[in-house]
Amino acid sequence: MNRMRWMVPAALTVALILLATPLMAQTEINETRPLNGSATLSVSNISGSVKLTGWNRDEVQVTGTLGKGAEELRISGDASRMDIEVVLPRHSRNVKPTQLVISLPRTCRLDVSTVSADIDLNDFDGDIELQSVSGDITAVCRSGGAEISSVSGEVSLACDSDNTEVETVSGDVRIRGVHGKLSGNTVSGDFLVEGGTFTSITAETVSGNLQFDGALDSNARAEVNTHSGDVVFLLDGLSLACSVETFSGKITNEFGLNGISDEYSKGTVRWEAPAGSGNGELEINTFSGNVVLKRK
Amino acid sequence: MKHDIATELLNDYLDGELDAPLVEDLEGHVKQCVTCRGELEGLRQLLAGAAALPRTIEPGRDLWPAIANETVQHQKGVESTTSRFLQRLGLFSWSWPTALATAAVVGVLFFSSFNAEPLVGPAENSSPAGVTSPEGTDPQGAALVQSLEAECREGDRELDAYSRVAPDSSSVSRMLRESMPVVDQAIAEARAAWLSSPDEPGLARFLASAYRAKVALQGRAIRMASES
Repeated sequence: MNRMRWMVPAALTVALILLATPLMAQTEINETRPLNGSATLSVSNISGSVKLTGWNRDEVQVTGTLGKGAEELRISGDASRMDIEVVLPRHSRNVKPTQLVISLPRTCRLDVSTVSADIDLNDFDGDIELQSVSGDITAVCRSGGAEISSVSGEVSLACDSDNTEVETVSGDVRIRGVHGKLSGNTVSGDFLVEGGTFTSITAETVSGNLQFDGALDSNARAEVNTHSGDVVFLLDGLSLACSVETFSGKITNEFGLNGISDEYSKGTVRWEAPAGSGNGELEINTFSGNVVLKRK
Repeated sequence: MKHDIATELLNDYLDGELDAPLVEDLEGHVKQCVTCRGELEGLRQLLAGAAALPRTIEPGRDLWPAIANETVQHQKGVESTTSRFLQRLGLFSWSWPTALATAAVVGVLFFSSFNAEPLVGPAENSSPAGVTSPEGTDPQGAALVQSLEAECREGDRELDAYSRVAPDSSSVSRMLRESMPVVDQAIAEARAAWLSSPDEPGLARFLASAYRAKVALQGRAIRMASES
């Protein structure tokens, strides 16, 4: 009789645990907090995804699902500075991906950091700093300044930014709409720039190819360095002084400036800007890559 | 003299390290012992063969570009392998023929590897890393390259330290495994070109640029490792 008295609560406890397990596997998230339009919001997630969209409210809303094994979604700070962090147990091995869907004031400053989680940002006007290790980063925005960093994840940026820094190791980079100042760096990732008029470009790759299909301000300073990556500049015209150097690659230019033939192998080619042009300068250095200056 | 003692003393005998009474005893035994006579003759031939080995061997192909970027690690590896090798020599009782043959092979490999490295010049000209610039190089470019080489070595040391503290930092190790060979290849190519055409303007710059890429990659790996 005494044993029976304990069996009922024990059975209920077991049943409760069994029922709770599937619920704990994926915890739904639905949190809303006040956040100023000038605030800084930091988001970090290890795996899964982070989808962010700007809106006109002075608050941040977080929905999505917390992956099985994650400790908690920690939201700290206040309306001027907030951190949203997916907290994992120490030495966690088997944590399932967390999907975060965040709506945030369009003009705040955003800082997102992930490991393998993809980052997807839309309809946003503030400065952004997005970094991931292997997650892909996609941003469609009108940010004033953008700092994007990835290791192997691909970066796709369609952004009205006038000051952009992009760094990857093996991830490819595709940039559209950026203008003003651009700094890019990859090891083996390809670098593609489409559109925009630039006043400053600094781009370096080791084996990654670089293709520029935009415009250079007549006073622009542009410097591109690759080791074995090819460099292609598609331009409407060339109104800058140019210096192209390759040790074992081939230089092709369709502008035929200063009597230089269209193709030139190995060596340095320099030519002055046409009379009346600005003080801009384009410098391309590649050890074994080919250089193509092509008319659009 | 007993046979097993005589066998133990044969090596010292050939090295001239035995006292006169022992030499007399040993020679007395060897005269009567066919086995010891054979072993002594074998040792003499091995020593003569080792002495006749060439001091240098020209490699069939230029190995330097492939190993240039590994110089420091290679040297560290040789040092640690040698020290382990010497420790083992002390721990195990090697027969003299085996020991001599091994020493001869190691010696030949050692000398040939030095001769395969055109960068390694006379000791008095060596930089701290044992790397010298080719003659005719722009001193500023050479200094820049050497300074970046030193920075890379420092980066290697830091990464090595991190790998011992956090060996399971998979994202860092994957990044290094996948991308460092690309950078190392670039360094090897630029270095080979720089060495073959030291008066070519800009080659030191290309090499420096490749080194900068390596320093940047190391820096990134270190940052990631420290954060993980």
